Amino acid sequence: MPAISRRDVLKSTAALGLGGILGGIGWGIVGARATVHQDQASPLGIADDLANPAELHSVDGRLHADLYMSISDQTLPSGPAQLRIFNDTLPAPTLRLQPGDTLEVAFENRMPPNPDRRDITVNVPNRFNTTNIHYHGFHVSPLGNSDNVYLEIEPGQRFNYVVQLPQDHPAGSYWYHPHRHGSVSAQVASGAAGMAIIGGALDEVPEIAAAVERILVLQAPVPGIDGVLDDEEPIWALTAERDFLVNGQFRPRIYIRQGEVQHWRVLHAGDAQFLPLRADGLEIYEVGRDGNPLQSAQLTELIDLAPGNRADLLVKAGELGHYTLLRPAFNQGTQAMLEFVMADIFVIAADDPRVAPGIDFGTEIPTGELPDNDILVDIEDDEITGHRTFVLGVSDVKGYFHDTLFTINDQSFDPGRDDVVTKLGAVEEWTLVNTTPFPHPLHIHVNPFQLVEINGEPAPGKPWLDTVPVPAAGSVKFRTRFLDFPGRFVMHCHILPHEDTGMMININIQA
Amino acid sequence: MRTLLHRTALATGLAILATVAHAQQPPEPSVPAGLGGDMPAAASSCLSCHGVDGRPVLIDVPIIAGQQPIYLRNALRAYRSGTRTGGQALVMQEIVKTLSDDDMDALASWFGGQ
Repeated sequence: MPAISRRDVLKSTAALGLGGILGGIGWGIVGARATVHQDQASPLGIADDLANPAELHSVDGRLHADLYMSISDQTLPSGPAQLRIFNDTLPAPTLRLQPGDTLEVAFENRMPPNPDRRDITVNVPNRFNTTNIHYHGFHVSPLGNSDNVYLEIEPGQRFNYVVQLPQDHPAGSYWYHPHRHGSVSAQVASGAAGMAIIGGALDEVPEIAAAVERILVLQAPVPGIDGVLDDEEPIWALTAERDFLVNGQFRPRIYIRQGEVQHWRVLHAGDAQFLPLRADGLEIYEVGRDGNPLQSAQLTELIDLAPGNRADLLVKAGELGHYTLLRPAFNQGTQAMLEFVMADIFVIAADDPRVAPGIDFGTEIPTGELPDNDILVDIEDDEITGHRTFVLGVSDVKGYFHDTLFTINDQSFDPGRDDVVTKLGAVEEWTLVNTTPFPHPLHIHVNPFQLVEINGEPAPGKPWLDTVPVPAAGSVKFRTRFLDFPGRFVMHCHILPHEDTGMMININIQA
Repeated sequence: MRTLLHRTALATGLAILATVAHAQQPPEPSVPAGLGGDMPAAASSCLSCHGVDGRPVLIDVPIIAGQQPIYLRNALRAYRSGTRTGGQALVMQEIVKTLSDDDMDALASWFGGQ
């Protein structure tokens, strides 16, 4: 892999050291680092209500998080499992930041040595105990000890990340997960992921500020056949993800009061299957996608999430009763996928005594335009400095995993090759053409993009995204500005077994 | 037929012939059910989206088995020349860019004859 000297980076950040995430009940301050820790808890204070994951909040412009990845004993609906996850929790803690904050992550790889330390082949899944961290959707530097996915943090090693958010960083729902090519699918499919929330924008809309906020991290951990996952085979099949969890729970209960509007931040942290979601009988308004506000609240019956996507939803409850958060049966390309229930939703009385006193009770949906993020200004024709086309494909090549290589422009990933070289400040329009019978959710690091066309038709609302599903036998067109951060980063399929088997390119932005 | 298909897959590097359940990868080559005659080699890259039995699973991909051969031939040439645009034309332009006139005639005749 390209050389960023881990030792050099460690020297430069050695002063950060390692701290400890405070356990215990309720709120606490983490040592002298002034990071606030909040335990997992129901936002309504009801004992059997779905709990939001534990949170770490920045204080005075700084968030210090101690994260480790280990092989952790967990219990899945299918039985005991050993999973590669952060901090022994499913999901990892939610990071709450503000634009301009500095995120410091003292990371430790506590996994055992890799059995395959030698003789690996690029684009064949390998070294499942080597890792790193990607800050998905963050508009930050891809270099050094920031959002650098070329790092390889080996078993037993520690690494200090320092991620500086710009003052004008778009506010919204983001996440973090490992991103080391060769082991990313195995680790994310294990459940190594957490949400990251950057405050501002939508949070300040009065109707949203008044609402109870729920975090829903959707994952489907896949264990190994006999213990820890040591082979790509169990996650290779598109239908392998058996039991989707919400915040680590199988089919949890979600409570909402009659007439109430709740703000749900939904993260699809699975590795392969799409999640079209319905909650029939409730009103669902989408207000943000991939952390970026929509133009206005959009009433919708179906929230279609590809792996990597986030949706900010306002959910309004009507009649008392039992409802479900459902993934209906659908076809992911040519593959039929089964229906299943993600969660049970109970609409309870507005004055239900189980709800803790003093809990917010939002009831309104914002009717006007939603606030925009300053830097997400529409990209007009005359701003474009270049066009590129990328063809997504798959090849049958002997010697690779299942004799398969996924490709972009007929080439599988080469860590030493710059597939795109352009200048900082360039504004480009990219067309992605999918020649396969499966959709591919393409994700670009560092800079968000504005979707302008799907299958040759204008994209409704031209949303700003960081992950877009390219339809099977279809195409999308988007525009993006390469701003603020020179360096090398990647674009790849977020069906992560596809990434590990080749569907990724390098983008080199020159200062 | 099976031998021909194996040769085709090896020659083109594409074995995406069938819609086998659970697949993320190109499935093993197999004889398309319900299609007869000698399949042109170039058809191997059509069947994954247009369906191995002439009926595509993808709901926004047209049924081409039994379509008028002249229409198919003209459509393929229009994709290659870039005069047919819009919708999913970008995908077809990519698929047909290396096909010769003879390839197109063979494909049009074979799919039209199903």
